[in-house]
Amino acid sequence: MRLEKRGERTVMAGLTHRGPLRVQRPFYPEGETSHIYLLHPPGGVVGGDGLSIDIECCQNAHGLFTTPGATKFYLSAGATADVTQMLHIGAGCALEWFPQESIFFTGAKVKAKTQIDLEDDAHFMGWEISCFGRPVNKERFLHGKVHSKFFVRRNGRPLLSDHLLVSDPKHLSAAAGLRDYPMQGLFVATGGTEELLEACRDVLAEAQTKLTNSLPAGLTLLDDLIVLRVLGISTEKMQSLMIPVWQLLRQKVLNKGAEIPRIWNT
Amino acid sequence: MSAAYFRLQQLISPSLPIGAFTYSQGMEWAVESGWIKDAESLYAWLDSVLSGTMVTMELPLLMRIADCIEYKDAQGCHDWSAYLLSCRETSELRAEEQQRGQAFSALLDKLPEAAVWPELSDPVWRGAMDISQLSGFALACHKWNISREDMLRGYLWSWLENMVIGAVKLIPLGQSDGQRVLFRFTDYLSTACEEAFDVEDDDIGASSPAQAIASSLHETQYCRLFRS
Repeated sequence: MRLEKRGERTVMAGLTHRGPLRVQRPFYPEGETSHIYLLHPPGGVVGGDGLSIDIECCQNAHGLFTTPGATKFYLSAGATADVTQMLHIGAGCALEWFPQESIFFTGAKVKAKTQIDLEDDAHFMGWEISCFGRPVNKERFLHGKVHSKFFVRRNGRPLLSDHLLVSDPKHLSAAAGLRDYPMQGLFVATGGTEELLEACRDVLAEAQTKLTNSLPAGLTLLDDLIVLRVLGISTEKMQSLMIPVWQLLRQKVLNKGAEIPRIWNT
Repeated sequence: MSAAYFRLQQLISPSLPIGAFTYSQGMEWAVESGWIKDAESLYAWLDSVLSGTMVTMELPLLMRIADCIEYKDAQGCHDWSAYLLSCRETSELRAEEQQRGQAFSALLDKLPEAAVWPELSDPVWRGAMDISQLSGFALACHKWNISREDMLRGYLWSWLENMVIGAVKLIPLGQSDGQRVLFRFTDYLSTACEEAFDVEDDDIGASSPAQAIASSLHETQYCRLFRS
């Protein structure tokens, strides 16, 4: 998929697709920014499936991507499912990437890679929420292998190479690992400074006070990346910490309103 | 007995002046928050970092970097070092990696035999050593004929010993409790090195999210003894 700014709006200038993965027509709830839903109608991914997304932003394009529901990875009979998401963000462009969570059922075998390539002053904001088992139904992730990578580079230089590896139930209870929380959230945004990091910490602290039990969550600044990591047991509670940080940075860095995709409210 | 044995002992000694004792890699916050409170929870923490970061990231990268040194591939050494830095999850862990690397190469500059190594004055090699402690360590091991196995075991032991020394101070634990924790790891350490041999290029990376969170929160911890 190729996004470009034409006139006042970011438009989908090129799109080819194969298989069941679909892209909905962009819509514009806030002016020029193109909001786009990625749809995977089968609803789930099984061993041996391959999902590959390649998005290019150029000529000052600004796109916001989300999915209407969680992506489910089911028990595999043997083969590994492969997910590759390549996001190329050209100079002057911004891409926001807020898919709903990935749910890994017991027995899932998954290799997932999200590679964000930034050029010059390009901006990115996004998250990855991973859920092992189905905590809502008290189903634990008993076996399987998930290796999820989230890489950010600017002009080819690696800024962040984040890995989440669960290949043994002991990784879920590991003291320096997931500590028996079935979910991890990773939020990353460009344009960070020490001053913005401070502001994000304040927003996070305030969001924590609204939870009955605060969650393990930490912010750090890596080059110009603000990185927030959260452990949790429900998407809503983790998002209640990540969304205020995103909203703050969206306003300060992208100069955009604090728009939350409407589809999340349905 | 060859000089290599004694050189390795010198390189991995806690008395090597590279400030290893000033870093806790998030343990200081983990102790403050109650995640680590006794010998048992310390063991669990270190066991987790060992399998989630050491085996899957540092040891495999140490081997890749040692290969680059053997084959005189300066750019490869630099690229793996830059990759290591990008895998470090927080600004404190990145600062630690760079400070240790720079302290290590500055120390080599002062050792009469090492000071003449051409790599120390080459910008690409030196650049790699300045962003990661692995490069300087692997270079010294190569020059002093320390075997791959001994290099890995030595690096791992040195990390573990420094963490336990730090934890004994932080929790606090008795000296003999600290020794018991070290003792419990003995059997696993050789296995850990063997597991590290099997990690493929594409799979090299750290997965210790709670350590990353602890290290992030250490950045604003009110009262701190350690730099990470």
